[in-house]
Amino acid sequence: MKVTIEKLTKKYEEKIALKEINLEIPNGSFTVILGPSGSGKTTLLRLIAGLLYPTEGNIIFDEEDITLKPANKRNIAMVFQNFPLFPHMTVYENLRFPLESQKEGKLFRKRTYQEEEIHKKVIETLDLLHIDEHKNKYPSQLSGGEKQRVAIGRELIREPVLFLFDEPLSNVDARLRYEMRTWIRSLHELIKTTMIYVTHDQSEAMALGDLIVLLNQGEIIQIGKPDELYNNPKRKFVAEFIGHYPMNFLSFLTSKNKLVLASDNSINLPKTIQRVIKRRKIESGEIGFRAESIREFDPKRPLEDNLLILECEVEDVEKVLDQQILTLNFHEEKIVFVTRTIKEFNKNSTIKVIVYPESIYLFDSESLRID
Amino acid sequence: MSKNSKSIKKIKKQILIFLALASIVIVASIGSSKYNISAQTGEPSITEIGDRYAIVNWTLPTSVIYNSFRIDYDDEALNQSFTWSMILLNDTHSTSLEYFTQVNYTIDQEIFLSQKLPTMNFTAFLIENNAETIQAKITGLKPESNYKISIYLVNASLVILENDYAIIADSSSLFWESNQFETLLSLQDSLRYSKLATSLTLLTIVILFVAIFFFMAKRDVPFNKIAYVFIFPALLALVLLEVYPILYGIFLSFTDYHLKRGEIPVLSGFNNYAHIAENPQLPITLTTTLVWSTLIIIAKIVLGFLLAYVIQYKVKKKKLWYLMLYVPWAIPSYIKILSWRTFIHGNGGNSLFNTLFGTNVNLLTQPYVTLFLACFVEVWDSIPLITTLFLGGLSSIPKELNDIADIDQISERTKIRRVIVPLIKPIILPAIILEIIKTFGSFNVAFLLTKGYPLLSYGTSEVGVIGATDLFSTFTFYMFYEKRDIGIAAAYSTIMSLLTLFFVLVWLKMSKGTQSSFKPEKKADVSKSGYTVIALLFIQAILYIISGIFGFRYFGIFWNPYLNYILAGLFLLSGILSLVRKRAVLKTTKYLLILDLVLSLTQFAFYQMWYAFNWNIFIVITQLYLLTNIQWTKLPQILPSILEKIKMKYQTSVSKLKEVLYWIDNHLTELSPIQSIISLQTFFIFLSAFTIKTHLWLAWSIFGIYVIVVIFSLFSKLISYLSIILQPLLWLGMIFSQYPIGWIIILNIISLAHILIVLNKFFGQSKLQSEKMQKVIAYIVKPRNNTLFLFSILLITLLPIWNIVWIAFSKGDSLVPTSFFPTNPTLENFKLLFTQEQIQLNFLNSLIVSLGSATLCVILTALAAYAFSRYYFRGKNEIMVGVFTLKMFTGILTLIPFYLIMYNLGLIDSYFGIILAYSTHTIPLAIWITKGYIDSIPKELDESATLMGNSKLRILRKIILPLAGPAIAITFLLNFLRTWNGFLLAFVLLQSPSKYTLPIKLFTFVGSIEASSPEWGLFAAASILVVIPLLIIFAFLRNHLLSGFNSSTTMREI
Repeated sequence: MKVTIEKLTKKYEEKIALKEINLEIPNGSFTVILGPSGSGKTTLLRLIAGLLYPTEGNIIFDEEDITLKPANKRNIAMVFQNFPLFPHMTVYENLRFPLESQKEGKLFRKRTYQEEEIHKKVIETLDLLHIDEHKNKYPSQLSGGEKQRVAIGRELIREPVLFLFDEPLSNVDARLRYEMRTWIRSLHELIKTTMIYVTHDQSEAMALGDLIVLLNQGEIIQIGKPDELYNNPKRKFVAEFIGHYPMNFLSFLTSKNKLVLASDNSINLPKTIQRVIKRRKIESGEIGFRAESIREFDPKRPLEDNLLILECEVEDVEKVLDQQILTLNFHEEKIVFVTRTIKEFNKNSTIKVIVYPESIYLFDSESLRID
Repeated sequence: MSKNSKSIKKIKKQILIFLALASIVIVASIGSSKYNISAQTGEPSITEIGDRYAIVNWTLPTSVIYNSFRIDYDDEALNQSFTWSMILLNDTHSTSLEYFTQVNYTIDQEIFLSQKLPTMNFTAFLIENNAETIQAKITGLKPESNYKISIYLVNASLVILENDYAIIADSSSLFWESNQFETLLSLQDSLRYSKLATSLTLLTIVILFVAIFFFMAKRDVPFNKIAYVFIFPALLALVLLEVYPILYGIFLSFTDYHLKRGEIPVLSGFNNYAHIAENPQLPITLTTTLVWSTLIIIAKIVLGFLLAYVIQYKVKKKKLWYLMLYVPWAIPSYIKILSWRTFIHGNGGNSLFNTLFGTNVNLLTQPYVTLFLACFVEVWDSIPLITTLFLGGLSSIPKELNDIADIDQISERTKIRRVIVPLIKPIILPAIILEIIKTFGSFNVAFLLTKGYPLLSYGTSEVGVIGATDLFSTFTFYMFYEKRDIGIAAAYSTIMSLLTLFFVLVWLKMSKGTQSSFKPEKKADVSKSGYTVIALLFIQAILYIISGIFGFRYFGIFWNPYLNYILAGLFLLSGILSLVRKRAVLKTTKYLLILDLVLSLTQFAFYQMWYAFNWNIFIVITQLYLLTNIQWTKLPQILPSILEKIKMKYQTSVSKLKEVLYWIDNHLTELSPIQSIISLQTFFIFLSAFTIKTHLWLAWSIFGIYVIVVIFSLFSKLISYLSIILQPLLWLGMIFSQYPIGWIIILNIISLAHILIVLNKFFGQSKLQSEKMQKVIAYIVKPRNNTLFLFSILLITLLPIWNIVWIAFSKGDSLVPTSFFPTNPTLENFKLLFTQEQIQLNFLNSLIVSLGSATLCVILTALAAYAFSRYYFRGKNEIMVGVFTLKMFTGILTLIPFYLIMYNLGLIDSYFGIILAYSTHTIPLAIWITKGYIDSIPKELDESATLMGNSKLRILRKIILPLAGPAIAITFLLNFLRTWNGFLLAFVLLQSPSKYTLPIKLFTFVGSIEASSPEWGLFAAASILVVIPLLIIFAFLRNHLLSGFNSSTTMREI
């Protein structure tokens, strides 16, 4: 089902949670809404679910405007963060409950599913989820992964038109999180229902999403495929937010008709970049480069002309498995540098690093990307 | 949160405005009092008009010659005149013993009845020649019609015609003619009217309410609409059964209404208030209520804290003691109170208490003793509750803090004062204020234990008599239930409501303050509280002057009116001076205040407290409190030199005294339990010596010897050991001077402990004693034995219970146990209960009513609590605060209007009426508990159920209710117990014995304190029957109740 959102605004008293959101989620897609905490992503999801009502704007499923339709008539499923199973019902009863709740008719309503049908479907779902042996257990007797599967199965069983996930994996331990991620992915391939997934974890978003919607402070910053967001951030915020390590930024300004780094006037920006910027007539801004794209200066190798060479002091060294994460101090500005070399770095020693112009992103003073 | 506080502010503002208006109204009414409407003597007057009768009073004229009266009435509708009767003055007539007569007469202010004489032409009444006044009740009128009555002076003679009487009357002259008047509605009509009126009012409220809700729901977001549906039933019930009665009560207080046949409340303006203001009984009840509340609150706080502290920190087996607290709780308070009455008062002073201790307590004749004992019983009744509150507060103190205090070697007293009290204060304070409100309106003890007795000789007015323990509540009840003066009773309860409102405002303010944990707070502004004191000084001066001029004895020094002026002058002087030199004068004012306090307190040593109680005491206490809290350092120091000298002298004498004490301390021996045991025994000997009747000198000389030994034993170890010789001496004394049995038991127990301790000292670890024995001895010998303290308190609790059990199983109406077990135990009383009294019917009644009320309450509560927990609709916080505030306005405050509403609707003496009455009582508390519980159920559960397509009602039924089971159970039980044990409303609303619930049935066995033949045996047996199921419920639901209880204590609420 296609979900269209038009000029959606949500206010809590004076605080604006969402500001005129426009969004189109294609049918059958797996869309991830990504954003830091407080960005309004859960609010957006709850608005789609009908658990909250928007202050302004419309939500349209396919062609039908369902903005004012109550949640219990939208036929959508939602998996919550703490996978709330009904503690007073067994797994079997938990799975039955949504089917029992389906009713038809206007005044004298009857159940949609008959008893045998319900039983059959529950057994099928139990098989599908491999939780057959836990059928008669109460939720308190299940492990975290089992609970999560039952919770999803409970939503799955009534064939909703839209699946919503509200950070379902944030309370799960790391190993299980990976497992569940693949499982959800394969589930989507199996049932092909539109799914909307909210998370603050970018690796989860990258792994799962066909489409990622990046939210910040109630506004959509960028919509795109995972690679697009990583390789082609449209704003400084995207570059900062996406990636294993926050991107390094150094500001630059114009001095004697040349672009130099703000912290060290003697260092010019690479020529290719100078050219790009001059064409745009921009006087100052920031350059950004990822921690992974920095190389250590190797005096043995020939030095290209078009490089940015920075001489920094090593402030801190952190060893994580096969990587070393160095915090460098470049004229009181911090640069994160990740390397896989086995070489030992000493604190307070000086080190020269090089940045290739291809891996440099340029942002103007308004934090917008310059191509 | 800020919105919440803002709204509270708003509510407060409105309430204040209301208060101000009300006070203006009251003051105005006092000014324009014109209550007396008595007619001139001699002139006939119609004193009462009923539906089918009118009463005329007149004095016989002496100047005219006549021998009879003819009474005629004109029916305006028929335009016709009828003769009602002739009243003949007859010299042969003498006082008759006929009971029902329409004409009465007085001679020398004594009332006599006339003799009715049917004759052929008139109905005649014979009265004596020398009658002075006549009262005639003219009957046979029609309801709701206009009449005019005329009295003629006639000379008539009685003749006998054909074996029948006839009256021959000659010329008549008009003696008096009344104005035209209208008779009242007939009973049926008035009932029909009032039913119609009440139904219409209720209907209007319902419609208004629906409209308001509809409007509010419409304005709110669609998501919240269903919330209004959910809270609607509970709020409607509260408005109809709590808010409307309060308003109706205020209305009634402005009417004249006596619940007579066919009477309709007639607006009378401020007459009732004027009447109350003029009545000497208001200050008397106010005095009693204030003294009562102050004494009880202080006792409750001290004892409750002590018990909680000991249980929390000082004893092992905390759980067991918790249980000991809850067991007395399971006993309904009416049974507890009545059993105390059995124990203390018995039958006119023939009681176990008096027999045990040789005292002569009689609750009907001794005002001071009665007030004190009533306070004691009230404290005892509610001590489990207040202890639990304190325990809740204490358990919220981190254990580490207590441990640190111990490790730092802070002394016990300092720890309590500096660590524990400041920490629990914010938690406990709102609960304490709730207790004050409850104590202020308390009814049960004063009614069941003493019913206001002993009567005060100066407490009589034309409306009734007041007693030494008549509180505001009981006096209101007396006015309502016995005097049937609805207007005045309603005015009393309105005044009480206003006072309660004041406490509620204080409570709101306090409980708001407690939310913040210890932030740096502004100290009370020095100058501000200083100015308050000055203002109070001026007020005192004015009040003293007023009381000096008018002799108002409730404010001022009664025994010498001139002292009033002197005190007023002093207060005025210090007020003016302190405006100039604040610090110095305020400091010296303290001494003036103490002087005033002493004067005021001594005056009721000369007179009885109720007669000459100086309310100034409360102002003085406030001032002293304010003065001690002022930060003196911020004020400049100026002290007159004379005072400086006095102060110096005082300080040197104190330090000299201290030196002497230190010197004595150096010479004391190592103190052991022996000294404390002997002192304890000395104390009891001192107490008992007052009650001994023969050989008084012996008792006092034993006391003297003991005192000497105690003093010497402090200095020498040997004497403390030798003091064991005293015991045989005491025994001899007990034999010779006939100690009452209670003292013998107490003194012997102490003797035993004493002997054991001494033996233990000498034969310490000898193998003669078994291990168990050693343990017991070690236990007794342990210094500062807190368990023993708890045990002695438990013993006092158990005494009346034992008394009741003994009575239940013994034969006859003997109240005083003669042996530990009844000599010939019988089940006679129980048999009588089921055969003669049919108590099973009352059990059934109680069950029906309690189940009905509890079910209704749970249904209303569950819906509302769900809405309050899950939705954020408009005005939610305001409604919550409002609902909670309503909790304070129950009991006597709404009793009268509630009774009238039920009366008008014809629901008196029906199960339905009483179910309605009790169902709303626990709603505020129940909503609070259930809401708290539902809050703890994850919100996602019902959200996911919603997404599955469930309606809200189905979610409530399938998800929330099963999960909130414990809360629902507690809510149910709370209401069930409240109804099962409810006394006041049931007492008023139920009239036929077949419908009595258990409390009323039990009360009918013994009646109130002045009742002539209480059936103690039946009462005792029935009490046991009532208590046993409650104890079983408690035993089964102990853990459940405790958890529900704790959650409610954390909400500072019961």
